[in-house]
Amino acid sequence: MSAPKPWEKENFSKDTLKDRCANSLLSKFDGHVYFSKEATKGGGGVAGGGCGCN
Amino acid sequence: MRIAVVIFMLVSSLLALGVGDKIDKETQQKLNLQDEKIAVVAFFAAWCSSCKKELPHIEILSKEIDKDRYEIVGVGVDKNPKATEALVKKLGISFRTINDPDNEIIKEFNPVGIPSIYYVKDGVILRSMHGSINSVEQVIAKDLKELDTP
Repeated sequence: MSAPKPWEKENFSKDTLKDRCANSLLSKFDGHVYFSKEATKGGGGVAGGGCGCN
Repeated sequence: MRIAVVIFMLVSSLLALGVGDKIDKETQQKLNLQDEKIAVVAFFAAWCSSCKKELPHIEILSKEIDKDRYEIVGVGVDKNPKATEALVKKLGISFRTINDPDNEIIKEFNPVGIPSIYYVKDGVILRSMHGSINSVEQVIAKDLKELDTP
């Protein structure tokens, strides 16, 4: 299995495949918990070339 | 993991068409570029948000450029050509666009990401840029001026 090419990332751009993005309120709440309890922030995204980053 | 990503990007960049490389005849025919002009070939997709931001800027440029010397061609890489056509209509794109539903054209170029822009003359790639670029119309106008200077 090879990594998808940039033009094959249509499905990755769908909202349902985003990390904790399906529910933005829940995502913010999650972020607040991490920040207040564990002093951590960010790390919810993925770096990499190509689109699929709606 | 990072090393794997770096190796993947390096391999991808080696396989991709670069400056000075010639596009094969079949792809040239599909793009239908005019040899005497510098062509701006812009790859986009309807699902790509960065492309949606860039296309209106390219549209602005398409109305300002000297059409006797330059041409702009958009290549929609959506599997469903109707998605490309709907985006073109929605954004009011007037420059020539072609559909590449089988991804044969983009596979030949093999860019590291989209949106991707290639400058082509006589079937040879003069320059390329990848990813979202702010005020891309200004960047393209500057590049065309530089590339057109003997």
